[in-house]
Amino acid sequence: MKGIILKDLYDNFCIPKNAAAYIFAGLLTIPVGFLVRSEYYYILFSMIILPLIGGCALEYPTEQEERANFTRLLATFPVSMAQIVTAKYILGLCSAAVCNLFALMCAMIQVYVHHTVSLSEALRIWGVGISISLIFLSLIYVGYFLLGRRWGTVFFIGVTILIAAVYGASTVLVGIEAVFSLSPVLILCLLLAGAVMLVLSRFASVRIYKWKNS
Amino acid sequence: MDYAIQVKNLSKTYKDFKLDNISLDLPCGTVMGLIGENGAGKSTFINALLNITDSQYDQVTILGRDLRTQETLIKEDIAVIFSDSHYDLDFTPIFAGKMLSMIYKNWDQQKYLDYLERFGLPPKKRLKKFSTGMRVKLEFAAALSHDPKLLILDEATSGLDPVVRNEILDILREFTEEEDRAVLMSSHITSDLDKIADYIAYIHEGKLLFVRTYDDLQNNYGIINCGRQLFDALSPDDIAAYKKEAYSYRVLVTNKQKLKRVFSDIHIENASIEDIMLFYIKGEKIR
Repeated sequence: MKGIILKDLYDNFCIPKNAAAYIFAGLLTIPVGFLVRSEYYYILFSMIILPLIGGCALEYPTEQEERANFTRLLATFPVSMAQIVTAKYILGLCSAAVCNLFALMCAMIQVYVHHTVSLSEALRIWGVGISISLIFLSLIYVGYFLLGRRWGTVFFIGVTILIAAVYGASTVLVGIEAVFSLSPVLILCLLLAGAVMLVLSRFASVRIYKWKNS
Repeated sequence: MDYAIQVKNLSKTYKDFKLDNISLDLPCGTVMGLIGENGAGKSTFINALLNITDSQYDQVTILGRDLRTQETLIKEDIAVIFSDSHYDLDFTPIFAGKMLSMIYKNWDQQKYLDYLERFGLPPKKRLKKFSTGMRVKLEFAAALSHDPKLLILDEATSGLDPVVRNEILDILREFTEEEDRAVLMSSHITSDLDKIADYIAYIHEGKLLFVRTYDDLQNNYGIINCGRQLFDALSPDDIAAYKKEAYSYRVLVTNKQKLKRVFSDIHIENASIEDIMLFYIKGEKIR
């Protein structure tokens, strides 16, 4: 599995156009997330933008594999299809973890530098952000395995628009500040739901991968 | 271990095509050429052997191991090169080696670097800047660096010029110098098989028409140009296929030696693998 993770890392970060896309996205969002003194942007950044970036780790490897029809060659390597899919999920989780680490750093800056939110509010936002990133990863990965790169990306954009719409609607209808007062139990439940979805997503993706490549 | 591949009654059914009950054995230390027209089932057979596609079979044993229960172990000891599936063109050879070193337990990085040097492949150049021949050589370097015992090539040399193909054939000859190794090679370029194959397996419309040694084909198959009288005198059992021409018949016979004894003044041309293929596909059969 290590070889496949390495390959996907290479596809993401060592191919100039793909690396450039990450650098562009990072430069556009991360400095703003750290510098802007706004609890609304902080929520948007921690709960939506970073989780979405974390879910991108499969797009470029899928694109590169489709271009070279690499999946057929991959099937001749001494790894099972379940291991191939699991390797891709591990990389997805790692990239989500990195994004959530950025979100935590941003939270600390908002708490101790900008004083826009309290520590407990920041941690609540962070927890919701983690669960969103797990749910997003679960949906997007099934989308890519099922639909391939092109339609998988359309699905990615669709889910992104849906999440943005939910964010917008909740801002208008209930006030996004409601997130600050979510109970820790509810946030733990959301995290658990995210983890369960991820496990189910991995099983579904293994079945889809076997079905598509047999 | 006597056989690199043993297949008994392998079938694969699609909506519009069936690979039908293929059984064959590939002895160690030999090269088997898999021939057949486009769509005959060669790639389907290779995919089934590698479990890339689901299939039904009584037994598939590769390098003495059962495909159902020991697939991963089998794949540690085989190498496969396809014409339509390759390493990402954004890879560099050095990265491909690093990735494969994490995939194969037997990976020998030094051997890989030696192959890169021998084939004149720059290690840090992206594959998209390589010529087609260089890319195929890289595939061979990658395939041979984990000490495989079985090499499977699916049209791997198509699109290469004769010089590079000849270099590839040299690599294959070198590979099979060791008795415990074998090659299964599907190719449309039958002249390559004439140079290297010990066995020929012919798949036609999903069925295995024959598996014979190359020497057997050379000694027994031949082409006769004859008139109606001689054509009628030939035993149908000796005729694989024939083509009726304006004033004569071209007949592919399967028992050249016997016919030479029976018709002492007859001229029988040697049949190449390409001739045999063309007769089976385009020729008429005696019912």
